[in-house]
Amino acid sequence: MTQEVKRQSDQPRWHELALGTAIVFAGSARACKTGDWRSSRPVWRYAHETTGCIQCALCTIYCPEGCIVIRPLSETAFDASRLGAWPESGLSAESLVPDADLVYCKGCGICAKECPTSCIEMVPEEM
Amino acid sequence: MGTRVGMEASIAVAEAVALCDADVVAAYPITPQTHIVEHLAELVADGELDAEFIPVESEHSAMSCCVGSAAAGARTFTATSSQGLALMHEILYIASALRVPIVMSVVDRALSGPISIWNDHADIMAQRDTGWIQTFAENAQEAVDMTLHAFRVAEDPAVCLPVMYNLDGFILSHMIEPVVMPDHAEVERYLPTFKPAQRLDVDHPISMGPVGIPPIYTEAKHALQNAITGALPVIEKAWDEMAEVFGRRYHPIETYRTDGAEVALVTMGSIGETAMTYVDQARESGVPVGLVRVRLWRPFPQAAFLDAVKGVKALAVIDRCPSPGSVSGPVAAELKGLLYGRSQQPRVVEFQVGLGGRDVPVQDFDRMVQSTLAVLAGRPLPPPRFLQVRE
Repeated sequence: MTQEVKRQSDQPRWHELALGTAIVFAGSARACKTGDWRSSRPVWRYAHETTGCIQCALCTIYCPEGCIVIRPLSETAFDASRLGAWPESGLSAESLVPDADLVYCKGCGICAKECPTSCIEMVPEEM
Repeated sequence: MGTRVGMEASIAVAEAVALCDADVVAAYPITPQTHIVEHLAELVADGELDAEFIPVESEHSAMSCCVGSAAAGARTFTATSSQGLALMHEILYIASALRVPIVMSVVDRALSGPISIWNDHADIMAQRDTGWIQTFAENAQEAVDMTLHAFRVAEDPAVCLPVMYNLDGFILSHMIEPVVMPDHAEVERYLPTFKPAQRLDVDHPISMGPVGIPPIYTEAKHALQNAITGALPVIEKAWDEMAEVFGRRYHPIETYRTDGAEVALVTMGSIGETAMTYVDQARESGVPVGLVRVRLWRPFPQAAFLDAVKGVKALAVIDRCPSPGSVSGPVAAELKGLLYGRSQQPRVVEFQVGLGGRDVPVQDFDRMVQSTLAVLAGRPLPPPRFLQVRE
């Protein structure tokens, strides 16, 4: 409830809308947080002997939302301290890996479907 | 100075649109609006009106064209009737939501079926909630004046809303009547050059018509509601200035011989002229009846209506639109909603007449008023009914 109230207060009041609800500045889609439609989220296995991410970045191309970004492993939800379990992966906290921007990810699962190593798992969002 | 001429109302409307220097006319011909569009096409083809005439493939396209044209900053006009207006329906909401000042002449005609090309108000009443300003003309002169008024109000920077003004199909649109056609200099004095408050411009790009997500839609609709109710003073001022420039005065609600009236007939459109004839006759024979004419339907002029019926004991409300399965016809429902809960409110007696071109002669007004007087004398309120149906 608190979250809902906060979100509404971030939105413009009726008299702050442009005439005819026109969009009068560029890049406004950035302010439109559409990820809350999602019912499941993609989770990458960045390190695993057989089905780990090989950083091919095909997921970034297939993503219809363009919301898969390449970022350092340390900035993902992955716990970098667990890397010691897979020394053969050659990954470090600084390694660049694909990750979904959950502000925009709709959870369509196309990335998981197309991933050549099947390293992306769609995990249901907890309601 | 204007020139007094004998002219068909439709032709007079087209000439008035030309006097307003419309930039774009996008329209599809439909009976009984046809003469307006045909004459405008002629004026453009003959070089008398410097405008783009866009012959479209349907009314849906006509209104879509008008939205684009007005959004680009052009003074835009269209006209339609009945099925054509119904086909425009979904785009009408978009025009008002985008706040584009389109002007449309609606030549009122029944909706099919059965197929009818004749006059009633079913077409316009189906557009009641589209967010357009809606006015009614009773005669050819008023149709000309409402044309000028519509552009003036729609384009006012404090309004920026589309306006549809109504004239009854055939019984007004096709009548040849004496009309004072204003001259171009007068119209220029009344109607300033269109300066769009916002328009599509490649040098200053904006997006018009984006999706309204749930956190925005309510605010967008509130803004529209505020715009149309807030337009009332501009609408009235534009009529006041019409009196100054052309010498003809209009009001949102107009009364005729309501002093001392116990019953007031409530009419919209050309039927008001017949009602005046009836009121004159009835008053001579001592029937305490007056007439209240609704010129402005949207935004509904609540205060002016309440003021007009102050002291009246009963309203004989005429609806010219069937509303199957509802409690009342649209006009009666509006008025009952306005009056509900107020002290000393008049009784509302409803009649649905003049459907699909059925003539409403003077005697029918007498039947309605006698029936209303009977209610005042204690007879139970009759249910809303088609007065003219053959039982």
